[in-house]
Amino acid sequence: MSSWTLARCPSRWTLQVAALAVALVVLLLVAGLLLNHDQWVSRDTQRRAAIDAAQSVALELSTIDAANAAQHMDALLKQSTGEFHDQVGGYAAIFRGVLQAGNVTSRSHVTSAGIEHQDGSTATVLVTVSATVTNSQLPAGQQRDYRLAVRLQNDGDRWLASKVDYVG
Amino acid sequence: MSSNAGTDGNLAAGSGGDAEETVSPVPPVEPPSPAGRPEPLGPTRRLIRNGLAALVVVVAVVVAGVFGSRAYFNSVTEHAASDAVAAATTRTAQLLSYSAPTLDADLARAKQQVTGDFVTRFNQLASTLIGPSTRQQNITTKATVTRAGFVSADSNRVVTLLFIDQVTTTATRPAPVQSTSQAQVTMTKVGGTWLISDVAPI
Repeated sequence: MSSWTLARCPSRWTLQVAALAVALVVLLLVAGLLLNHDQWVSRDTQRRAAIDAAQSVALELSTIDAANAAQHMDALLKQSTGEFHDQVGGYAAIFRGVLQAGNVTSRSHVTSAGIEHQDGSTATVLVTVSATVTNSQLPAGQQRDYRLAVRLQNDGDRWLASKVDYVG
Repeated sequence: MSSNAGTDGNLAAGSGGDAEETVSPVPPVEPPSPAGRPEPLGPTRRLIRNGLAALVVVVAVVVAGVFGSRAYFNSVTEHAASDAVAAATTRTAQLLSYSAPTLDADLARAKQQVTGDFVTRFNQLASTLIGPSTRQQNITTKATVTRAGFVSADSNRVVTLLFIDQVTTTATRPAPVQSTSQAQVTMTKVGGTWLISDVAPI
C-alpha cells in the first residue's frame, strides 16, 4: 500500500500540475487574444461610426433646402465641434440669407466614403457626394460632384466633425 | 463501512480477481479510510475530475484557436489596408500618366500595375482609346493621387477611394489643363504584391 502510494502519487501529481499549468497558460493566451481582438473590434466599430458620421455631415452640408435651412444648420451644429462648429455657427445667418434669396435647393447622395486616417481620438474620412443643385439661375438643375475630407474627433460614443475641406 | 467505500472495494476486488494485478493494485482486503484521514478519490470521481480538466483544456484550446486566428486575420487586414492604399496611390498614378513620345514604354509600365480581369479591360482601353488619342492629339498627361483612403478591406482585397489630380497638355492646348477625378480602385494581393484589379470612376 505505502510503496504503491509513493510510486504512483508523485507522477499523478506531476501530471495534474502539468495539466493545470497548461490550462493556465492557455487561458492566459486566450485572455491576451481576447483583449487584442476586442481592441480590433472596437477599432473596426469606431471606423464604421466615423464613416457614418462623416457621411451624415457631408449629406447635411450638400443637401440644401431654402425652406429648411434652419433645420440643416441645427443638425450640422449638433454633429460638429471646434473650428467647423464655429464656422457653421458664424456663417449660418449669411448662408441662410443667400439660400433664401437665390431659392437654392440641392439634393444629394453619398457616392463613396473611405477612411484616410484613424487613431484613437481622431479620424479623417474622404467622402464623395453627388448633388443636383437648382436655383433661380438653374431652374432645371445641375449635377455637381463634391470631394470632401471630413476630420472628426471622437467624443465618447460619437464622432463630431471638427474640420471639413472641399478637396478641389 | 459506507456504501461508497463498499462499492470501491467490490470493484477493486472484481478487477483484482480477474488477474489484472498491475492495473488494479488495490487489495480487496483494504479497509475503508479511517475517519479524519482524507479519503482518496474513487476511480469514478477521478475520472470525472480528469475528464473535467481535459474538457477545460480542450475548450480553452478551441476558444484560443478561434479567437487567436480571428485576431491574427484582423491584424493582417489592418496591415493589408494600409499596404494596399499605398500601392493604389503609386500604381494608379502610373496607370494614368503617359505621354505621346514615350507611349509604348508608359503603357508597358502601366500594364505591370494591373491584374486579373482588369488586364484585358485595360489592354483594350490602351489599344482602342488611350493609344490612338494620345498619338493623334500628342497628349501628355500626369496623374497625382492627392488623397487616398479605403472603403473596405480584407487580407487579399482592398477597395480604395482615391482623389486624383491630372495635368494634361495636348497639341491644340499646349498650356497645362488641370482636371480632377475620383475613383474606387480595387487592389488585389498577388504573390505578396498589391495590384490594381478594378478601377471604377465615381
